[in-house]
Amino acid sequence: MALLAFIVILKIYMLFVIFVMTVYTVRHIIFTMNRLLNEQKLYYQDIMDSDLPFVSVLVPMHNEEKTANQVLSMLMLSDYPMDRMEIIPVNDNSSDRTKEILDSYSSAHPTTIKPVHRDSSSKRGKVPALNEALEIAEGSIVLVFDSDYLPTKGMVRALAMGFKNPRVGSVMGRVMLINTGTNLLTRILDLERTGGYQVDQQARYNLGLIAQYGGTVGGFRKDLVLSLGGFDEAVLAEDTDLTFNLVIRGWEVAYANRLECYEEAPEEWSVRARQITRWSRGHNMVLFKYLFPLIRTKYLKFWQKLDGALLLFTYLVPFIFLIAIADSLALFFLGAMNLVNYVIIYILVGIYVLFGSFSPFYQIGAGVYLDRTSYRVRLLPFFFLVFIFNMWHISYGFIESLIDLISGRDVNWIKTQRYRTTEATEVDET
Amino acid sequence: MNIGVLVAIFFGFLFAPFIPGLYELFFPKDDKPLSIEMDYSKDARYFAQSFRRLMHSYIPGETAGSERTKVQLSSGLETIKSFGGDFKTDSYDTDFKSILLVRGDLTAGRNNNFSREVYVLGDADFGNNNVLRAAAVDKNVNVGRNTRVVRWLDAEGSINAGRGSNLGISTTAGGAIALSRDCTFKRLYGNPVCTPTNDVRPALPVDETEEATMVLDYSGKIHTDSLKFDKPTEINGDLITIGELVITDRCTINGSIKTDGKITIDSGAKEVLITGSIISESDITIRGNVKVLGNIFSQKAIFLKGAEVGMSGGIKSVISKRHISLGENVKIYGFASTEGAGVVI
Repeated sequence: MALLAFIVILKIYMLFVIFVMTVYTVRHIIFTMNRLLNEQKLYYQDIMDSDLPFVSVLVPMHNEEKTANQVLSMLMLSDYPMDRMEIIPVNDNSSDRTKEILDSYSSAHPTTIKPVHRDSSSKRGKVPALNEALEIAEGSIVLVFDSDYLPTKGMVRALAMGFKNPRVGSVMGRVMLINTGTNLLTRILDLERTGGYQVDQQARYNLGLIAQYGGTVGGFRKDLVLSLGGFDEAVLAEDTDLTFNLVIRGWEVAYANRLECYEEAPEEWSVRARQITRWSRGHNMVLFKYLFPLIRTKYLKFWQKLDGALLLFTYLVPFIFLIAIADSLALFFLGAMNLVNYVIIYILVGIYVLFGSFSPFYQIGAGVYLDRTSYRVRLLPFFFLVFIFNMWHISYGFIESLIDLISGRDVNWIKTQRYRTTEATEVDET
Repeated sequence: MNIGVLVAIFFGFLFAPFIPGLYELFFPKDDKPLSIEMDYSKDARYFAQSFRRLMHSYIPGETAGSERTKVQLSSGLETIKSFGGDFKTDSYDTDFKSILLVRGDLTAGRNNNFSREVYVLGDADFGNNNVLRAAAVDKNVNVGRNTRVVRWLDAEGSINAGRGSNLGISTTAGGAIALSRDCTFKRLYGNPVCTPTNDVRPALPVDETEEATMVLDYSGKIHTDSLKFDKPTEINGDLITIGELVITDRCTINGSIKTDGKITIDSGAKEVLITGSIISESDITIRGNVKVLGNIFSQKAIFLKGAEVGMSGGIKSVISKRHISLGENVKIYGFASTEGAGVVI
């Protein structure tokens, strides 16, 4: 009797997983079709306006001597009027030459570059660093670039234009890899970014769903974030946290696909593992925090709430799938693989088996097509390896987030390693 | 069949999809970062200014007569036909196949085809029914009736566009652009861009007997329903709603407007002032004595009649995804752009 009940539970779980995966399959297909066939929604970069807001650009840094020079140099080349902009690099207790580099830039450009140096007495991590910088930022608009990013000349102006829309609480640009060709991992991450931004983010923006602020190549209204109490230091994914904190209150996140910015991707699987585990841990904490407020908010329509919920569950699904594999093995050895004799179930299973496993491929394939590249799509089958890799580390991140939730322990930010070979150089006075 | 053969077939099918990927990995053909234009900076007059720079680097020395010279452009080796003074043609139906450089004024007849770029250091008068690929003019331009610009037109001075002219992909000016009826366009940049004036009704003075102005504070509020203001109203803060917005009476909004639904401002001769921008996911229709100090932006269509956007000395934008229709008495200080069609009606 107990065995029978156990088998029923296993079967119900399998049906649940098939349903969930089918829903995500349909979502991926809708996004891909929207991106390929439908009208694309405009961002605000075409607005020309002589009245520009004062902008604070924050660059959080921890041991960034390999990257600090480039990001600051690129920001100083911006076409945004320097009297309407300040750059605040936040040195978060670095032990390398980051402090010296920032101070030399500050000496050369004292009215524009205003570094903040945090020592070991401060709580470490990007989120506390941002909160501290927000206290001194003078701009009504705050933009954030991670230290490994290379903003283009027109980036600050174009991001700032998004805030001409009074309902936009946050804006987000597109991330591209600078080290694409290094190895298999970077090439796969390049494809992943293509699918994620060129198709997924833009489709969500087109459809009026929740576009996501990504914590870099983006920005927000300072007073709005301060009115929300700043960033939550108990959450590792401050970007997703802000996204949902805004949308449940009726604010929008605007996505700018044409505002492209290079970043440096992890070149080692172990570094990538730590990064994606951190993302999963942070994202799932946001899930716990915002699922019910998302359902209850009066500012979103049904489809926006549904897709928002699917977005929140993104980093839980691999764990659900991992359990499903164990579930199917158990059912197989118990000789109970025949789930239910309903045609609809067979159809759902059929859809999933035929299309579901490959649904993320549609987005990547469409993204590669839209970017007018060609041969890199040949690497698509390697996403089979990534699928297994991600499933494992995202599941681990989910378990960590559960422990965070139950224990209320402090979370620690683990910085992603940099690989740039350009060594720190003295500031270029010209 | 031998079990070994079966195993080999199995692994063959298993690994076959990876073969192209392995080939790309070890013999890469597409492993460069996606291209980003790092120096891109928005400039409405970019095409014309870079063309001017290019032409100045090739302009031959002072000469009174005409001459030809060959230059290497991105499109290949091109011939520049240069005129030392004014260039006036009474000819009709002529196809000018060289790049023209005119040091004086240019006066063209009717039905000509300027199939290459034109650079005029003086004034330019393109007659009716001409076709003009692209032109940069250092003084003023007159575009005749039904003349068509294929790519771009730029003047350091002002541009007067005749009835039915097609202003191509981009028409820009350092001075004003005066549009006539039935002009079509995609991007305009001028200080200001004006449509024909007609029956300008003076703003009605405030009627002492009318209802008192209702003052509302909308700071930080996001409305979920449609809003209608049919009585004199002053709103402080941004007006944000998920629904539609209708304004039919005197109104001042000290802030910006954002709606998901349509925006209709139809105030007749009564003054409406919006100190910020107007942004909608849907259509924006503005008729009447309306002044917008910020930008107008729609994901669908914009119709303006009697509206003034921006102020002298500043730059503001009117941007629509699908369509812009400009009626009489419209003045835009700055930029107008649509991915669809722009038309003066």
